[in-house]
Amino acid sequence: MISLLLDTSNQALSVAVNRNSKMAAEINTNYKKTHSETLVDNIQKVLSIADIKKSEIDRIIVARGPGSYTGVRIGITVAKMLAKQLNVPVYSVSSLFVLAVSNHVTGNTVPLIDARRAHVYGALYNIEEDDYTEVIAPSYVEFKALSADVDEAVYLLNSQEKITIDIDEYTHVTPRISEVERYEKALKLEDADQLVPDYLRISEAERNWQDNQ
Amino acid sequence: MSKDIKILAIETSCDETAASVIQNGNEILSNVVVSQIDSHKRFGGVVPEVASRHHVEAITHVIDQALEDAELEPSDLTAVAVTEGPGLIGALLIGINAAKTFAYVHDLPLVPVHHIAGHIYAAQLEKPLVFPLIALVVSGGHTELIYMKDHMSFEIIGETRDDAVGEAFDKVARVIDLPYPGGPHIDKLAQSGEDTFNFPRGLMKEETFDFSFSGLKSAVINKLHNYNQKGIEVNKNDVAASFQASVTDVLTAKTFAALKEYDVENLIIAGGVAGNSEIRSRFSSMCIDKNINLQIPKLKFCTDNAAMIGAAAYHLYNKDHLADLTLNGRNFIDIEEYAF
Repeated sequence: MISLLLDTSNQALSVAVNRNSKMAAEINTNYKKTHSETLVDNIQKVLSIADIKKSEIDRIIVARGPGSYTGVRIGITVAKMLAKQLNVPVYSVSSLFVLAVSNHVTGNTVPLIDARRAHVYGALYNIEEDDYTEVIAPSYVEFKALSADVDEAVYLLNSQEKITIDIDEYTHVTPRISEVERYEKALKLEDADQLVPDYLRISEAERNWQDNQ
Repeated sequence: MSKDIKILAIETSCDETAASVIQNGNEILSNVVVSQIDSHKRFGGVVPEVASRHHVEAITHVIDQALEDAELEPSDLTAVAVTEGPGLIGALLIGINAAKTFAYVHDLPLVPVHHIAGHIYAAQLEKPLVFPLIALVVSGGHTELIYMKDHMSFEIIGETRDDAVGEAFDKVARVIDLPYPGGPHIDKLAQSGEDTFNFPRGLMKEETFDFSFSGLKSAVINKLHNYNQKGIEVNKNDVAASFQASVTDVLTAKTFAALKEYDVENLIIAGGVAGNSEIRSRFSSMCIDKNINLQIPKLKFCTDNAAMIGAAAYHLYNKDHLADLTLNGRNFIDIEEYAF
C-alpha cells in the first residue's frame, strides 16, 4: 500500500511517501518559505524520488492541526483535492501526534506548539513502540495549567519555531509525517468534502461576536 | 479532434468561493458561486480568517459542481486558471492550492489571473471586447480607470487616492444603520430620495483622472452628526440619493473626460459597484448621447465570480502566460505587470 503523507501545520514542512507503512522517501524542511509555494512542488518531488506514480497512491494522510491557521489550511486543501481527484481515501492525524512520534521517544510524551500569550497547543500521549494511549487530548491551554497536570514526561518542541512560553527542559523535534503510520489507530478516515482543519480555536472575530451576543 | 479551449477557473480572493468552466473565453459551461455574505454580516464586513475557513469548507464542492454542470471530466479540460491576486492572501491561497493540485493530478497547464483583469473580461462573456477601450473598475477594493489598447494590455490612467468607491458605500451605509454589504441597500433607499444635501464632488475641478471619496464620506458623517446634535431627524433616503448622486457625478465626469482625452469610443464598467442602478442608468443614457459603446456585465458577473477569471484566462493561455507548481498568492499585483 502506498500512502502520501503531508504536514504543513507549522513552519516545518514534512511530505512523505510510505510503502506498506515504511518510509520510501520524505522531504523535511524547517525554514521560512511558505508552504503555499512549496507543498505541491514537493509532493511531485517526493514521488519522483521514490519512483512512484501519482496513480499508484492508495491513500492520503494529512496533519489536520492544530498549528498555524494558514499552514494547516494549505495541507488540508491539498489533501482534500488529492483525495477527490485521485479518487482515494483521506485520513487525518493530529499535528501534535506527528510531533509525539517523530523522535521515537517512548513513555509519557507532551508535544507542544507555542500559541503565544503563555498558551500552547498540547497533548499527553503515552507512547510504546507499537501502541499508544492518548492521556490528554490535543487542546489549547495555558502552558502552566497543562504542565501542572503532567507528572513525568518528555516535552517536545520544534526549537526552530519562535518559543515564547516559559519552559526550561524540552527535546527539539522536527515533525516527520512518515512516522505516523506506525500507529494506524491515530489515523482518522475523513470525508474529503467535509474535511476541515482542527484549529482547536474559533477565530477571534467569532469569539468577540459570541461574547457580544 | 476538437480545438475548443475549455478552462476550469477558480476564484477565492475575497468572500465568494467560485468555480466555472469557460469555453473559448466566452461560453459559460458552468458558473458556481458560494457566497459567504451571511456569515460576514455578523461582523459588518469581511473578516479574512473567517473567509479563509469558509473557502476550505466549500472548495471541493464548487469544483465538483462546476464540472458536473458543464458535463465534463477533468480529461476534457485544456487548462486550470486561478486568481493569483490581488485579494485577501489567506483566501487566495485556498483557490491557488486547489488549482495547483488539480493541475498536478490531471497534468494540465496552470494559468494565473489578475483579479481586476477578470472583472474587465467579465464583459467578454456577453460580447467580444473592442479596442481601444477604457475600463472603469469600481468595487469594494478598487476604483480605477484603465486604458487597454489590446487584449491583456493595461495602463492605469486614474485611480482612487484614498477610499475605494465600494468602501465609501459600505461606510456610509453603516452610519445610516444599513446592514452589510451596504451598496445594494443604499441603491434601494436612493430610489425614493433626492439629492438635497449636495455633498462634495471629490477632485471634480482638478485636471486629473484620479478619484477621492474620503472627503465625501466625511461630509456625510459630519452632516449626520450635525443633524443628530441639533435633534433634527434625517431623511435617510435623501442621504442615500445625495451620496449616490455625488459618486455618480464624479465617476461619469472623470470617465467621459478620459474617453475624450484618449479618443476612445468603447467603455466597460466592471466590479461590484457596477451593479448600482443609478450608475448603470446614468452611464447608459450618457453613452447614448455621446456615441460611446458601453458594456456593463450582468449583475452576477459584476460581483466576484470564476467565469470572469476563465474569460481572462483564455487570452493568457493563448499568450502562454503559465505558472508552475510553485505559484503563490499575492495580496497586491500591479495590473500593468499583466501586460503581455
